[in-house]
Amino acid sequence: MIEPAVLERLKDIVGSEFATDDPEVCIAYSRDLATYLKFGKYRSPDCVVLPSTTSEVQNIVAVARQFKTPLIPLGSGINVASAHIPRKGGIIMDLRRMNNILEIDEEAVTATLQPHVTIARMSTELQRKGFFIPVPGAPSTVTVGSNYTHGNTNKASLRFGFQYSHIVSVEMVLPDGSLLRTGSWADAFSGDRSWPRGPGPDLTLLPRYALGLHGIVTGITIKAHPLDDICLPIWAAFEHVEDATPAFVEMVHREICTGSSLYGGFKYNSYSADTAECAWRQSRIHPEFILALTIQGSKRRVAFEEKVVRELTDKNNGRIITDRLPFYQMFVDTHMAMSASLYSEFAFKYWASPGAGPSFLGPSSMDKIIPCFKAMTNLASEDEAFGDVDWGNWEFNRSMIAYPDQGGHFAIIEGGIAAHPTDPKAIKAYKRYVPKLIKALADIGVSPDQSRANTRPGEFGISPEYLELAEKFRHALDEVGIMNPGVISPLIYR
Amino acid sequence: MTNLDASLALSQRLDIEVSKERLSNYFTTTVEGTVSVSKPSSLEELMEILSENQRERIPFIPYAPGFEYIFQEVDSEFSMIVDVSNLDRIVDVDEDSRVASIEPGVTFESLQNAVGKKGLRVLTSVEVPKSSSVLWTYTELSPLYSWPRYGTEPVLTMNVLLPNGKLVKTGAGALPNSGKPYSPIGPPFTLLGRMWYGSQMTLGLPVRGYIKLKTAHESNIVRFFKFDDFLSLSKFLAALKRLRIGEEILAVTPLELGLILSDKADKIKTTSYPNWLLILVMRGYEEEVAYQKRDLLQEARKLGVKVLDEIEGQKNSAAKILKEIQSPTWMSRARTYQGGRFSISFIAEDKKIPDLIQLVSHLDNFSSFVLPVDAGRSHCNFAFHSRSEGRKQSIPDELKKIVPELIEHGAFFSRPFGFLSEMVYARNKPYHKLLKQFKQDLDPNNLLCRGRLGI
Ligand SMILES: Cc1cc2nc3c(=O)[nH]c(=O)nc-3n(C[C@H](O)[C@H](O)[C@H](O)COP(=O)(O)OP(=O)(O)OC[C@H]3O[C@@H](n4cnc5c(N)ncnc54)[C@H](O)[C@@H]3O)c2cc1C
Repeated sequence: MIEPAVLERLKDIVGSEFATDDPEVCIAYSRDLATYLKFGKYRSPDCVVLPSTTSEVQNIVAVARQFKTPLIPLGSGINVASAHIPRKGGIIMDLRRMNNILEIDEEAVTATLQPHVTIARMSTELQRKGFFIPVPGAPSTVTVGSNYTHGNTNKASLRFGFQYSHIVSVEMVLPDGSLLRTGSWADAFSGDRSWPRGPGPDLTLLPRYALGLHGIVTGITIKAHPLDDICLPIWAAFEHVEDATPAFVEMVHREICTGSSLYGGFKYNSYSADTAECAWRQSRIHPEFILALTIQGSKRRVAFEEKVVRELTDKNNGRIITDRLPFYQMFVDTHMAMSASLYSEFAFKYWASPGAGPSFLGPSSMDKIIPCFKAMTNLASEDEAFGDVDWGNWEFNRSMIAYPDQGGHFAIIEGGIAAHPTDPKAIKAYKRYVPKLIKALADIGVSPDQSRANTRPGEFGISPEYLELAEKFRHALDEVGIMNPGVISPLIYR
Repeated sequence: MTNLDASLALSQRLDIEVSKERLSNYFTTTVEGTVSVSKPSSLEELMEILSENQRERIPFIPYAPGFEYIFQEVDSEFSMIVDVSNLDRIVDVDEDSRVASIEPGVTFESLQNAVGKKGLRVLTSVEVPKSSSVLWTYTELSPLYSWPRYGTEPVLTMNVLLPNGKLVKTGAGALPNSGKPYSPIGPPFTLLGRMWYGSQMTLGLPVRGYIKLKTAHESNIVRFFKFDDFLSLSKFLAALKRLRIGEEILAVTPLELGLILSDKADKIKTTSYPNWLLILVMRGYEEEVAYQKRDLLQEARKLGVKVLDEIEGQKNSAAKILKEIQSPTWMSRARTYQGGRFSISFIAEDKKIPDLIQLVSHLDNFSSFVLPVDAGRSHCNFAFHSRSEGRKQSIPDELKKIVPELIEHGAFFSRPFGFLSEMVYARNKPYHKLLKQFKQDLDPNNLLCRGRLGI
């Protein structure tokens, strides 16, 4: 229950139609695709508030602080980790009214926006002016503010790096209600938002992967890029990971292509499959390994890079599968502005499940692709359920994606065993499988990232020194502890 | 016991190499004095010094090769420098991932030699002498140094020694079992991987860095373009950006070009040089560079810009430029040109650069180099070479007067050294307040680089 005085104050700030403690509304905010699996302990918020300006956000933070009420910012709410669902009740601050594009700076090729502008809208507006942003694999309804601060991979990382490297500057309301701006935006007088670093020690990534604990992003400047003359998706298929990987590694080392990822097994078709049945059927006709590549640039650049891709595919026993597809334009659209319609409900659940989707998401290196895939496959084949062909033909169900950074200095590898997350047999099997997988990965030097949905308490940890420092800073920013309390499980945290 | 005696005694007690040096060898200070310089030879020794410093409350400043303290005044009470030059191990060169794991004492020269044998190269900062620390140059300067193709993050992850002597690993390094801790994307709170950049060592010392290496290509082509003014140059830059041509791009004024090309600072000829010369380096496989040359030619023709293989009247200028980039020497000449060089670096939108130049061009022997860091904005280095001994003292004071005007006209000092920090943070108060808070958490006794950045 929210104190009546708190609700009154919130209504004063945003207007009575934008603050409510109506249980019907609050309950709707207490669920996402992951919480129904009850892997954590979640609560309904006590009230929901929808600010439209930065100063309203500041005032709301002041109220939360005064009454020591938990405050949880909400972006698109599809972080697949239920990071925006209250653990201890309190106020959900739904940012959907903060959806203005503030500026597109055509000279600096940046856009400044409020957090709740969607990727689809931002892409469209930029493309109209001859620019583009690399889009995440997420549905394009995801909002820029939360995706750039909490998402990871995008479809052009080979050329531009991952999402976080596109943050130029941020405007944040800190937990004490004060306003912080970073990069050249920090200068209170100049109005220039085009430089991402400093002044001095660089705080630009303060909100990054902070799950709302460091404050609320109310504005963000992101980097865009001039549209190229040509955008050419070109996909190569391979039967074996031992063929696909060397082709991939060489392409990455040669620093060609704008986008590239290696999809193993089930993964790609899971995006559009409506049911588990449909996914299995598609898997059987899908190539085992796909290199989803995109080449962008001038006519000459594209011709050169395409030639290299074809040569390396050929040399490594692969084949190009996008040459004569009637629906080829779809690949271009997917690359330039991921279409939400590609995602089926099944795909969402697959992603949102506690291990049914990615069992791990590991910061890693290119030379770990083959060992990771083999570790996953071997463990699955030994498992009484996953290895049971009658139950779900495991051979097609394991999945992996590897996303390299520019030059392949590191890669993000994610993998899992796909099954419908509500299937009790699957849930049981994951509980057996995942801890074994984590151990097998540790043996080959891969340590899954802690911040993802599938990271459950106690399985593995983060270094205590790192956590101590993180806790120090969190405390310095929010000594009252109002921001999204409990979002990081104490077991992981300790 | 004086501070100096205490610092000497501490290093001697810990059996760490120590010597007495003149303060002015390390700082641009007007104060006469002596400091103790401790040279730990291992990380363990360094950790020991840091924790003992904490116990005895001795303020100290770290030093690595070539690590300059620009505009850094220190008071006469200051007594201890911790010099990490002996932490100079190239711990590993991973050819598969093209990553080197290095300590802060490793110089550009030694790393370049080591990785060159493996067909790799180190991203150099064109103005930083080859004898400088790679890791600390990257963490301190790279936000301003950019390779158009590779962005501003040459360090992937690092191990940072906190002022209290504890070690924190960033990115994937903070996850256990990370055999190759190269990914900056790791556990939550990515800030902890980024805040050491530009921190002027106030928050901790990077003691190990995992840095990117690039392929050393055989095809390395230099092209030159002459411009009468910066605005036409910047239009051409925008076209290059769209075509993604150029691994290193540098624009220079005549004096700067003279300093780059001459062998001796007293033999500089500048008369035949254009107002602005744009230098562009393409690297890659032969076929790759070949199509880029054609793209470049086509674009230059469209914009009416002439493409030159060599600087007019300068034989071997292309080879000389490549050598300077691989192994920079030019800044050591620039420092001895006439009465010495003073420079300031900042970020500015390209369209504002001509106005900024107007504000300072009357100062002694003005020269500038400009590195385009991203669309429409560049890293500018404005340098002044004093005409006489007397002027040497007054140039910094004149600069102090001009900087506020530069800021007003759009210069953003993302690296606010010395007196700049006060001016910059006066306009960025909330940012500064937060920095002070973090500094307080990390270094409650304020021992590490006391006073720097006003935190
Ligand atoms: C099927 C599917 C595929 C996906 N694929 C990708 C992909 O390939 N690449 C990728 O990058 N992403 C991908 N994602 C999306 C990604 O997981 C989310 O974008 C990201 O985690 C952020 O989540 P969100 O935008 O929904 O934010 P939310 O869920 O609303 O919030 C995430 C966290 O940030 C906090 N927060 C929200 N807004 C703010 C704010 N303004 N200030 C401070 N804190 C805030 C919240 O409290 C919460 O803790 C995918 C998602 C799905 C469902």
